[in-house]
Amino acid sequence: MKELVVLSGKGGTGKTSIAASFAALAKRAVLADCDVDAADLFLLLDVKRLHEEKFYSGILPHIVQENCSHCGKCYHLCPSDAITQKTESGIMHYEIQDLSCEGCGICIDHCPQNCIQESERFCGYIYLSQSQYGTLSHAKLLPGGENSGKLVSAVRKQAQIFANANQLDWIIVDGSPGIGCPVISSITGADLVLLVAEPTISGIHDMNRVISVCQFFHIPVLVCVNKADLNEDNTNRIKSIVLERNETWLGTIPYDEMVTTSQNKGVPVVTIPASKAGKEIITIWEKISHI
Amino acid sequence: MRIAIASGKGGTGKTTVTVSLSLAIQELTKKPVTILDCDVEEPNAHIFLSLPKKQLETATIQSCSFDTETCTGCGRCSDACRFNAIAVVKKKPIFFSDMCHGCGGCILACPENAITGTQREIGTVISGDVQENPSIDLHYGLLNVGEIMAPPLIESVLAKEHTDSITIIDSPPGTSCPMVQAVRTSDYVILVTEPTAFGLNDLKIAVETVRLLQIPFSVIINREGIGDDRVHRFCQQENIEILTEIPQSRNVAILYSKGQTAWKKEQDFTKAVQKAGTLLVERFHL
Amino acid sequence: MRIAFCVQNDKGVDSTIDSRFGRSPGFLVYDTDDESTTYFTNAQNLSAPQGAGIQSAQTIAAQNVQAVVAHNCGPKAYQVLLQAGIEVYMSQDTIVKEAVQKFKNGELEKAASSNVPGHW
Repeated sequence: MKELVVLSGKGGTGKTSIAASFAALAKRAVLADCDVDAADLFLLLDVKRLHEEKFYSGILPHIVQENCSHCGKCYHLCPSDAITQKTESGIMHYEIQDLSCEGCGICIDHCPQNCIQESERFCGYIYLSQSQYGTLSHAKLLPGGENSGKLVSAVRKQAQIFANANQLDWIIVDGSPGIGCPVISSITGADLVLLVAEPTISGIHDMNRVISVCQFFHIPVLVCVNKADLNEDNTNRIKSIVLERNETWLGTIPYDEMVTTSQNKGVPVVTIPASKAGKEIITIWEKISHI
Repeated sequence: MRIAIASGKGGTGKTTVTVSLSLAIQELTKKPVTILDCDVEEPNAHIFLSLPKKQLETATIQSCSFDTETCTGCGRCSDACRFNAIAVVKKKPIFFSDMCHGCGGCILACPENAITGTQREIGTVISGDVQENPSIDLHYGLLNVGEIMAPPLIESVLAKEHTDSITIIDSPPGTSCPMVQAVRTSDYVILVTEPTAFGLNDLKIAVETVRLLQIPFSVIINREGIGDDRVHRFCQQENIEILTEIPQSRNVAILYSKGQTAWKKEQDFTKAVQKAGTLLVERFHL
Repeated sequence: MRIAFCVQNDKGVDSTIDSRFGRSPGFLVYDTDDESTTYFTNAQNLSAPQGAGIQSAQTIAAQNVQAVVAHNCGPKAYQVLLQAGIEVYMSQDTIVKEAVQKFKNGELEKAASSNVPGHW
């Protein structure tokens, strides 16, 4: 079994369209959408939900107002400025702003009245769904949710357990943009990363940073360029950077409006026979499946 | 005035809007404009605006150092740390600095005062005046590779705001902690989206987030013409203002690929951005 | 000698071994001298935002054990166990008594390092 993570650094390069296409092409695969902030893979796979679970991470403090002496210690100690003073009908009280709270617990530990309680922080949902192209592990992070890194780990774990139990060949992971916490969580321990680059100056800048992160964690990188014909000079530059940095070059995918059409229809682009992009994605998948 | 440019989905055109809208607003108001690129994982605004003179500043977060002489190994620091960055075994602390959020809870908890705050480097803040328009200054953060603590670096970039200037923030994509950190202290948010299935799905989550933060907002539809009217219908239903629509154009995309904005180069693009700029200037008396 | 296992439930030596180190529901300590077992929960650690492995290692270290048998162990947990002077053995067995038997027969190999990369 191999775990392939599709990444891009920059957003909007076509990661999800490509991951959904791989789902349609791979025979024995489970899918994991680790872009939990903007989980779009399910939109292309016509899914039926099998299982849903609430996801908790970290803690959330809560001031029991009746017992509060308004000493203001929590307000002064909070390193995230998450505690605010509010005055309602002439009476001042303190409130914790959930979205700003990091869950360090300092307010709880240092309240002289012991009137700040902690509860587990509800951060979102983790789902297991069925699609015609295989089972999908995915999640929804609540708006402003903390810790997408841990949620990413949970989504991957669910996919890994499913893949092991059913002796599948592939785990295909749709990663998130950037190089930070959720990306690190999606790649640690994976077998391969497919980097979907874009032939733009920003795309090259971002790609270089993602390659550095993958090399930091010792994961081999395969690179393809999407919308390659938009700027062929940049596409060639990407190819030489990839070879210089000792990673694997896979090829190019042309700009194709059918990618948007397929997205709005809710199907993977490889299922549209006339799509130029679809044809190249098939070639790239064949190369990956022989690695 | 702090205006944040955000989006649920990446790649919808946040940076394009940030850069061109800043140029438009500066031109309309003749006042100084500050761009804060808070997408510290993948900052891009500096690609479209050149900084002839760059100032580099190391960004740090609080970390801690243990005085093993005074430490009695009582383990209260480990109990206090909700991020599990400290283990105490055989009466000796082991500290994992990459897990530390810099809250200082351990320092407060230590009965022997054996822990002192130190600084740990997480990235760099780069600043400079923009060559294309010296009334604009740009500041961006560059997160160190392998580092997970993006929010404190975002805070360091936000600290570059100055009061006599109109501030435009290029926010990180998504709706989790980095986006909230970048947006939460803004006076106004513009959500950039595309008229596609992904665009709409991610816009809905971004709208939910901005509503939770109770910040007034509107939407800019980028690459209008590539998809359908689902985003328009959603905005109408939800009573959300569409500030402007930027038409899809291959030329704009090609200019972008070369690291240039279409501002003052493509007429339809420029008009669409000017429309948004004028609306904002009039509404907020910028 | 006291040996710790990451377990899903408390059924003495018939307990099921959990493949997770940081987020296993509980730990079982087996004493080779009197063949007794003691269970303790890891509940306080299950919703930790990060670093669950570090806390598990610290919890185990506090139980005065000399060895840990686990499916997996990450680099940070390994470092904590190392400092605590606890030996780490890798085994893929699913029931505690099977792993105990192998341990007694000297069939388990001592781990010289962590076997899985760190993760969040």
